[in-house]
Amino acid sequence: MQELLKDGPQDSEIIARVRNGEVNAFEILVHRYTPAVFGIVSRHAPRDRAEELVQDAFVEAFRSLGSYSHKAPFSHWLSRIALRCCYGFWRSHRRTAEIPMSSLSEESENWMNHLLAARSREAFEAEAARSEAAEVLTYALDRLSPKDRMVLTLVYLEGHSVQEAADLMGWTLVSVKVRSHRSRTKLRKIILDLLDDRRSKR
Amino acid sequence: MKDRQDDVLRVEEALIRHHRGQQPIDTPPLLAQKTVTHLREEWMRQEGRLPNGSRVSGLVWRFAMVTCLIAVLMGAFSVRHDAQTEVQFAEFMMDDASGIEWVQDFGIL
Repeated sequence: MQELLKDGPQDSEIIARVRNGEVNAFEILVHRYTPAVFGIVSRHAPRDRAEELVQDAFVEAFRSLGSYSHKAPFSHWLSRIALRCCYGFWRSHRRTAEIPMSSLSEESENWMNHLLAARSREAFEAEAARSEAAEVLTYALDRLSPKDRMVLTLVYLEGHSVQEAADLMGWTLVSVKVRSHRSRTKLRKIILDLLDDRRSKR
Repeated sequence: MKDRQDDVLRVEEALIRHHRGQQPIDTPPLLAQKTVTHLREEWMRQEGRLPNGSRVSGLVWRFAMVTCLIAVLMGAFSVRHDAQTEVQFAEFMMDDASGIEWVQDFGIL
């Protein structure tokens, strides 16, 4: 299978075979791109839902294969589908879940104290690498709308350009530009509230 | 005020650094195979091959509904025209005396 993945037929050839009715050929694409799709999904959705979302992305890719136009590489097209599956997950999660009202754990509040007290660059970076940072980030992202969350993650956390984020999500450039500014302002407001809360507890 | 803004920027920078510094998670070894299995189920469901596939059950349901409708119509006819025998039913169904003879030739009635 490994040889088939590396030296096997080109993506375009496999897609042509699938379109001609040889649906089993799609399995080669699944084996070839599962690690990449899993990598995307695990950065944009909860880890415990990542496997399910990878499967959803491939089912969606198979259903939409007729609309794939070969303008972009198959991997890019598939990345867009995977990201939209993550966005769909957050939309349905938002509809069904209550607005998170929980506060941060004591460890994460202490983490902010240690972070702000760090004097050297090394100490700051060591604090940034700690797992409490992930909790604070999750807390903040959970308070954003699904669109804001996707844009903030793509543009600020992952460093994509606004144009790339717009292409990946299939949204207009203007919309992503406005939303990226707005989502960052919201993130800062959330952090500010956390800091004020921390000060009031002192 | 400026200190508060600086603190916000420091926390924000730490969160961005944390996200970018995360090690990629290893892909679960059986994920590709599980995905293929899931896809095959999806294909079979689309083609109506699964016993519990919605397409099969839909066809069975529609067939049963049409059969019931025909039975009700025939019952209504028999009540209205006081049809008592199979031949009277056949006249209604075929509305053609030669047809009845043809049916009788084959021993159906």
